[in-house]
Amino acid sequence: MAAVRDFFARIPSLFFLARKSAWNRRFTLLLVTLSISLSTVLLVGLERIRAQVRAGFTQAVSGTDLVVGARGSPVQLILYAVFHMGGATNNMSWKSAEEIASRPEVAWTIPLSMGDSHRGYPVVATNGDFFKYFRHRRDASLEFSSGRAFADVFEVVLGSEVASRLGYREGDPVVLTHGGDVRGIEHADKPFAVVGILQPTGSPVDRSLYISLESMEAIHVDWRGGAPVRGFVVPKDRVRAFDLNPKVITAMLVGLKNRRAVFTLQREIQASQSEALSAVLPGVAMDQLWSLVGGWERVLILVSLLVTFTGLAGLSSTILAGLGERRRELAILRSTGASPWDIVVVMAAEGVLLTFCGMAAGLLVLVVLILAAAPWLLNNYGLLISLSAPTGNEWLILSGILVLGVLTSLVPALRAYFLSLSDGLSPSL
Amino acid sequence: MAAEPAALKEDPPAAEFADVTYAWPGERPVIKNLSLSVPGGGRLFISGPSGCGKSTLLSLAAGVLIPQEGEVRLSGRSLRDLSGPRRDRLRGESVGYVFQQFNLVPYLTPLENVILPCRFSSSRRKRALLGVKSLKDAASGLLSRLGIPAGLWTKPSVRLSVGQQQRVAAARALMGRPGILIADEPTSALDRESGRLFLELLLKECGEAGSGLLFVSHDESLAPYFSQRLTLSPPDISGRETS
Ligand SMILES: Nc1ncnc2c1ncn2[C@@H]1O[C@H](COP(=O)(O)OP(=O)(O)OP(=O)(O)O)[C@@H](O)[C@H]1O
Ligand SMILES: [Mg+2]
Repeated sequence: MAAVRDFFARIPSLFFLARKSAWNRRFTLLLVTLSISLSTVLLVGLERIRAQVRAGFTQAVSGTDLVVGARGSPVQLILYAVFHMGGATNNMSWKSAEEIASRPEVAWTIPLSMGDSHRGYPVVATNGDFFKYFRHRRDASLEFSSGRAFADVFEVVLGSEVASRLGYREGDPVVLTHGGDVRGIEHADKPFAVVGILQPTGSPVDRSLYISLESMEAIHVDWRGGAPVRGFVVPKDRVRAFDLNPKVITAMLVGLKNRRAVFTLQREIQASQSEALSAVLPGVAMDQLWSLVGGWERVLILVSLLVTFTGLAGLSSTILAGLGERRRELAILRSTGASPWDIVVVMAAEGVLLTFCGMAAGLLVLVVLILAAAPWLLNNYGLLISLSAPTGNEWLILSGILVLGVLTSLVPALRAYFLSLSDGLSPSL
Repeated sequence: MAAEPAALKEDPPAAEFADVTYAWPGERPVIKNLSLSVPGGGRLFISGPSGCGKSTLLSLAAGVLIPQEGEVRLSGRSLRDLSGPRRDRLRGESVGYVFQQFNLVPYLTPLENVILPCRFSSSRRKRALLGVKSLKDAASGLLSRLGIPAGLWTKPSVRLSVGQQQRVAAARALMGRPGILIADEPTSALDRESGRLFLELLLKECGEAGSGLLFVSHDESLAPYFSQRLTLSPPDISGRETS
């Protein structure tokens, strides 16, 4: 026991030697340290991006308790109601929407009507409740970076990416295209004016244009069955003469006063006699969707693991390569009272110190990267990456790198142990 | 019976070999039935042709090697009964070692090199601290007595001349007054005059520290400085086998 206590008492001295030795060979070891930093940046950075992408995806409609639409597959309903991808094959009636909205357990509803687009970006018709009740990222509400919500027909609000990519500003005219195809017929006779631009959210909102349900009716008053009526044109300033109240919508987001009512309401909506409807809990369906599109996660993790293994293998082999010329030094240490186990600790400590420095440098680089690239990522990729203390997963990654660093350091350390045992005080050089 | 108490009063020898035989793995013994005893403060001059086993003998004395037969004792403690780490500890405690050359850990300053044994052995540290405030003071004292200019103490060790490096190594070996100092041809990298000077300094400090000295050298002119001498016979295979 005394021997064990003695050994631990020597640990600070052994680390002192390891630090001195590593510093003495800092130029040789710099490259190894850099590769460990790179591994750290990759692993932790990718984990952060992955977590944020996932959060941006699965929390795209975080405040919503139910998504309601015409009867169909839940995943498909989520695809067009949340991500505005693909078309709805069927609509739901405005009457059903109003009926659901008037239920006592319902706190709010957001009607959504899709179908048109602008230069590939989906156009979503909704009402003012959208700006009031829509939530993403747990509990973030929509904010305007400039302008205001639409208040009249032919007014459009742009998601941040739409505005930045197409270079639109408040007051610019926007012509909508019928259907989701860029080559569709344009509603050229009824241009919209940009009245507001939303702040980036990292959700599909950034890639959409928002108009009122009345505007949606207005651009289609002279259309029937998906095509302009031949010889019947209603000029823009005359549309108000028509009934612009919506008759059908594509889907509706529903928020409840009390979440516990969600299953009862879901059952009642799906059992509705007047119309065949689907009501979907977005969380479940979005997780399903994520598992469909999330395969890239595993590829990223695999690649960064490979980089890490390469870095650590470099660490181990660099220390091993330096061992030959250090046999004399090991003999000196033995002569002054070091045991072969002390030699193991000195050698392993060197690897551990390098791993530690590499990780610290990597984290520092990551902080700088996040600070520098966050606005750019948000603007160009809708990725909301923020600076914060490491998450649980990130701690796991960091400790994983450290453990692997310790393990790989043991390779040269054990080699030094056997060298030191066989060399004793007279290394055969 | 009457002689017993008197014998007990006397200090045990600093280093003692009793009928020691050692062979490197798979080879004939280089050390055969060797007995010797260096009393506390005694000085033993060891010589012999190259390859006769001088360095091997010193490794046995330092407890790095264990003889197949016989016994090595340091200050009366048998190395045979000790586990590996215990032997390392005992070496740290009671042995100072000087190599032929390249004695210093390259990434430590001369001062740090001298303090090194105190990092591995607490009793060595305690002894080094007797009468001084810090290990640094103890090391500085030794370095200045051995003629190393203070300006070099915290310079990189590799900047020192060979002679200076040997003297720093001597200071390290003497740090904390080990029972025995072992030097393996420490003067062979020096010219004759510097070698003599080095030995005189070493003997003076050994005397001051009360350390015994095992000294290997090819230079017969140094032999008169010693109270005992051992000449190992050449590795003549037939001769060693039969004698
Ligand atoms: N680590 C070792 N492993 C195996 N054999 C060794 C080892 N070290 C020394 N020997 C062998 O032991 C014998 C004695 O070697 P040793 O180094 O003790 O001689 P020496 O008297 O110190 O010689 P020199 O004057 O050249 O230093 C030699 O035959 C040598 O080959
Ligand atoms: Mg030798």
